[in-house]
Amino acid sequence: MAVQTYPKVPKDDVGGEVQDYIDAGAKMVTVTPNTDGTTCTVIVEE
Amino acid sequence: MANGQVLLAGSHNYPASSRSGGADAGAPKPVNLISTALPANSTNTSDAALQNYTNGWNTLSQIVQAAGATKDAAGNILPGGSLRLTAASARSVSMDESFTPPIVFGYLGFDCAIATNGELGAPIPTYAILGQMPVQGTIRIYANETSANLLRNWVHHPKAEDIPAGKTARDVTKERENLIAAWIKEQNGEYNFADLLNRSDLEPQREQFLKDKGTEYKITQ
Repeated sequence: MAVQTYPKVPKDDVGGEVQDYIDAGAKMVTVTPNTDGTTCTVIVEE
Repeated sequence: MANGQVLLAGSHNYPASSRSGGADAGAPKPVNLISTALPANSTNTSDAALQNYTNGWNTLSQIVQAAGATKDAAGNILPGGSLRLTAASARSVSMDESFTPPIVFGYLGFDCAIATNGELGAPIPTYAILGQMPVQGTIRIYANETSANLLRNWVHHPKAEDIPAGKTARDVTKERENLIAAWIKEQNGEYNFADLLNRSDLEPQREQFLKDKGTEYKITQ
C-alpha cells in the first residue's frame, strides 16, 4: 500500500486534490487542517 | 522536534511490599533497619505482633523525620517536597510524596521532516521514531507551478461552452481525467493523473503534457 503525504495544501485546493485522488482510485484520503489556518495535510493511501 | 504536551505530577504514592531497595539523591539519609521479634510462645503472639508493629512504625517515622531534617534558613526542607507514611504493616509500607511546583516526568512531542525548499513534513509522534516504528509514506510537495494551476483548472472547472448538452461539468472533468490517464499510459509513466495534477516533482511531465496536448485539448487559462 503506497502512502503519499502532502503536508501543505492550500485550503482552497484541498477539495480538488481529494477529488483527483478519489477518482484515481485511492483507498483512503485523509485531510487534517494545519495550525497555520491556511493549509491542510493530505494523506493519500492507494 | 516540536513539543506537544508536557506531563506533570503534583504528588505520587509509593506502595511497597516485602521487597527491598534504596536510592540516594543528594545527601544520603540514614536508613534504619526494621527488625521483628518472634513470640516467645503461643500465648503472647498478639503482644509480639503489637510490639513489632509499634517498633516498625517508630522506625519508619524516624527515617522520614531524618530525611526531612535538612532545611534552609527559612525552615523549608531541601531540596523540596514532603514525605509521609500513609500505611505500614509487617510486609508492606506505603508513602505519599507531594511536589511543589509539580515535577515534569515526561512529554508528548512530534517530529516534522524537512523537505526541499524548507517545506515541513507531516507531524510524526516522537515515540514512533524513538521506537523505530516504520513510518510509511512519501512526503510530497503540492504543485503550485503555473502548469499545475492551469491543468487543474482545466480539469476541475470546465467552461460552460465545453459542457455538451446532456452532460454535467463533473462528466467533463472525468473525461479529462481519462484523457490525462491515457497520455500517462502512452508515456509508460509510473504515476496517475492525480499525481500529475498535484505533485510538484512532476513539473517536467506536466510541461510535456501541455506541449503534447495543450493545443489539441484547448487548455487555456
